[in-house]
Amino acid sequence: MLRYGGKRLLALIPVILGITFVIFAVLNYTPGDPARLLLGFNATEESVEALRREWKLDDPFFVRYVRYLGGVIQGDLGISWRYGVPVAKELAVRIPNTLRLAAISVLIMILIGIPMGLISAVKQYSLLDHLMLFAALLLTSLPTFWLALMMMIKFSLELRWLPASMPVYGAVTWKHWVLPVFMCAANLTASLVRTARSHMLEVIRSDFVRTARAKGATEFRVIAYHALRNVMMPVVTLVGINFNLLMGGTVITEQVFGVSGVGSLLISSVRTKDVPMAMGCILFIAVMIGLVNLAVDYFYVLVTPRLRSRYEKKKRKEAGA
Amino acid sequence: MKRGRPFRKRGRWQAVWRRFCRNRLAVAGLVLLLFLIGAAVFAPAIADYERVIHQDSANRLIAPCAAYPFGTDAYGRDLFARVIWGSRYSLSLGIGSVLAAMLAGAVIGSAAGFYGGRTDSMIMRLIDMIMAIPGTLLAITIAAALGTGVGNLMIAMSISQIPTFARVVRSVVWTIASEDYVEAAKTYGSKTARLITRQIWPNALGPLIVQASLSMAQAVLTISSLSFIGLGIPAPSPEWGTILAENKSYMRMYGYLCTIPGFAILLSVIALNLIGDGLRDALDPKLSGPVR
Repeated sequence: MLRYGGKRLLALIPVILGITFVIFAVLNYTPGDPARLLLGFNATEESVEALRREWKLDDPFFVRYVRYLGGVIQGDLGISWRYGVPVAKELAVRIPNTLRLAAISVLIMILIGIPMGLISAVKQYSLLDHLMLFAALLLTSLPTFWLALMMMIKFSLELRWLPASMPVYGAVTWKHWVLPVFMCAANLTASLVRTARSHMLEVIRSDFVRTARAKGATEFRVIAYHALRNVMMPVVTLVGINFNLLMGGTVITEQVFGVSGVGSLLISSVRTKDVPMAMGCILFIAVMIGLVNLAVDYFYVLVTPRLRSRYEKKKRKEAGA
Repeated sequence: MKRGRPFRKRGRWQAVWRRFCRNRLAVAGLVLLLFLIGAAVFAPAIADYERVIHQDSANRLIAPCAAYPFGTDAYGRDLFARVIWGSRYSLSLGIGSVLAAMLAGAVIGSAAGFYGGRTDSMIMRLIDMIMAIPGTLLAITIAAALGTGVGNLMIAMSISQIPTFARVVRSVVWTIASEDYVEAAKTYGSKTARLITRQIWPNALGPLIVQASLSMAQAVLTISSLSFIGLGIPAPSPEWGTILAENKSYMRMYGYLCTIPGFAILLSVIALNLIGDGLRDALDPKLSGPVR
């Protein structure tokens, strides 16, 4: 199993390379000269040229990408072109906020979304099922930022229970996180309910479930033992996919609520063509996505006896040799 | 040689349509969508464009009434006219970007699947690379890099959706490229382009349509979110997300300014989602029906 984990860890590298490459290309091939953007339109041609030389902007695209990667491998994320501070330092401040937002949202997804979807499937066509499906459809179709606005009106402005945005000064309390987390998780939790339900429907119609019933297993055992184990794989994959989507969602959420996280930093630095800063943000997001997908794969092997035995057998053979 | 359409094919789509019609929610979604598209198409007849941009300081922030069905905003502009005209932006961009991505994805996916070998692995590695980036995130990044505007938003939205469609088409190509009827078509000398358009695409149509309607729902959401955070369509234009962003500061006292444009987004996304679900069930009837 350890071997498998190590192998998958290596497979992370192309994913991270791919993501950073695509974004580096986007930053490079869209109009707008970073030096000109920083100095403003009144700056002289010479000063812009000087800055371009300092940032080595006139080198070919691949040279600059490889140079950036070289820096990253040595642990140097570069210095922000706009603010002159090390990118790593700024990221260190921002990452905990984004991680908190993402982690709580994923927890909600797993603890609420999956059970609701499974129950809904088991009780197909019941009142509960219909209600749940209706709520899920509504939540997946809502623009989450609009939902956030409506909740701000209700809970922040009318009831005054929760603050409408992050404080500029002063401490951040759990109350500040309620609305952002809700906005982040609502949509994906609802979509997880829908997909978990349809996967479960497929499983409880399959032959082995019928066999289990025919052999006289109790309904509870059929669902909790036979069906559940088989529905876990697609559902866990879904959690992984949803996490990728979540990384897009946090960007919008952070922007709406003024959370000073990686996402809002990404937007502002892409806008101003602050390449080292934007790449730092993307690198973090890419690593997160890679790690979560790794965890999903690992879980996959862990719950599937067929895959597990393959890796265990290998190990035993090696021990014997 | 005259080759009529195979008889069975029409039968299949008729059956799909019949199953779709039996799904009341899906039909409701279709009616709703046609209604919204109608509003977008006939916007000039419903409300003069003058009312979208006309600022009237005497009639600021009027609650919904007979003269202004949706009220007026802080500049005294008619919100009803703005929401109706806004449907043009949101729907055409949502549907248009998906169609563009679908076409590009179909070409890329069928080329990859059909030629196989090195072409396939090169294209698919590239697709995988783009696919690893969450669609919303890619759209946000491209939109932020390009700057605001209708054209730029369209580019950002289309590019970020191409990989999904390329994957769908390629998987279909893989499953049917070795089928007998494709072999037969090859045998009587069909050109590759004809094979792709006549044999592959009709078979890919089902999964493509389902993916397209669900993607459109997602696209409408993403477009309005991007506009809301200031990366989409710039301020005076009546895009739904932009309207919401403009009215945000007045939402406390004048709730209708934010509820109504939001409902417009919600309705169009629900319609597209219902149609997508209905199509999926109609094309794959395995999952409806009672438990065996």
